[in-house]
Amino acid sequence: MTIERFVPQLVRSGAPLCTLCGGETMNGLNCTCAAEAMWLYRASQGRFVTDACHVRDLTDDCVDGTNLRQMQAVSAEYRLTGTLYQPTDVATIFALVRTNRYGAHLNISYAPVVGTSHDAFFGRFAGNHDIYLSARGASIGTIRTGDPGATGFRDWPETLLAQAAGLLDLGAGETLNSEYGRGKCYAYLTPIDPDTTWWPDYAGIPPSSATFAVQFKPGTYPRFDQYGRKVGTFSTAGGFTAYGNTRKRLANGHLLGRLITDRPGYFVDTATAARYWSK
Amino acid sequence: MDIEHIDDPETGELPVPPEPATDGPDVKNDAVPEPETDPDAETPAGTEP
Repeated sequence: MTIERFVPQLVRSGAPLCTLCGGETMNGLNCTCAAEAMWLYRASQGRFVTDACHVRDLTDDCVDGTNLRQMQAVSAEYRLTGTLYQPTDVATIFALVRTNRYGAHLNISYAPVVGTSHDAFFGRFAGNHDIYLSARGASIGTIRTGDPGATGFRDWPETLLAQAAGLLDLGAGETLNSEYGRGKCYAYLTPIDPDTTWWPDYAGIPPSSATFAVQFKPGTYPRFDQYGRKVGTFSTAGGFTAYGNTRKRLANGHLLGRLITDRPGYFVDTATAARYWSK
Repeated sequence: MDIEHIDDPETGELPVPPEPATDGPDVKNDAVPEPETDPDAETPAGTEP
């Protein structure tokens, strides 16, 4: 299960009023700091609970917004080490977050978000923003995203995230697209989650090669070959939980998985399982 | 059948983060507004728009 906690930046979304720097209200400037509070919660596996204002205070910066390198320094104050990318391929960040074992800051331009259902500012903001990527979304091609200007996590299309990341304004008339080519992003990745975050606690420690687990309730289920072709069925009278280590995407979007503990060698449609855990 | 590999089929390994890249300029976020109300929200009953 992904360790996550949404942290807002705005008072209307539930953030405390952030008065720093001799009385200046900083909430509107604190998106990167709010995303860092989400990042810290994930990277510490829920041990560090803080808010955007405290992160901002740790930067000792009273001027304008903040950047990812400053968040790297804040993480270090918590003895946490992430990986900073200025820039890297946005597809790489998506692939890592989709494993549900990493979270990440993602710097974006809000311009392509304006007018979409994801616009938390009702058309009043189109500048540089920072959001937090938590896990794969509920549907294929989406990422579970914490926009500090919103009130909770939502699934954003990867296409929108990639477009917004590429349009990040680097200043002097340059964007990431114009400076480095399309498909790049600025991101700050958490350390990898420990395996313990995804173990089904009653199924024991997984084999080292395991990458997912499934629980089947009593019943009869389709069985497949390694290419995803249905080859028959299997039945379980009492139900079981098994680890697996190879997953492939079927044409219908479901994940085909090979079991390695119970029913070793069986390829199953993980979507037919009652529960599914993934590294 | 169209199959996209998620893990390495031989080792079951997951994607590995690349080395850090820090050559790009630091970029600060901009200030966002804090609207008092959602302008698209429906007008409460009994009040004028």
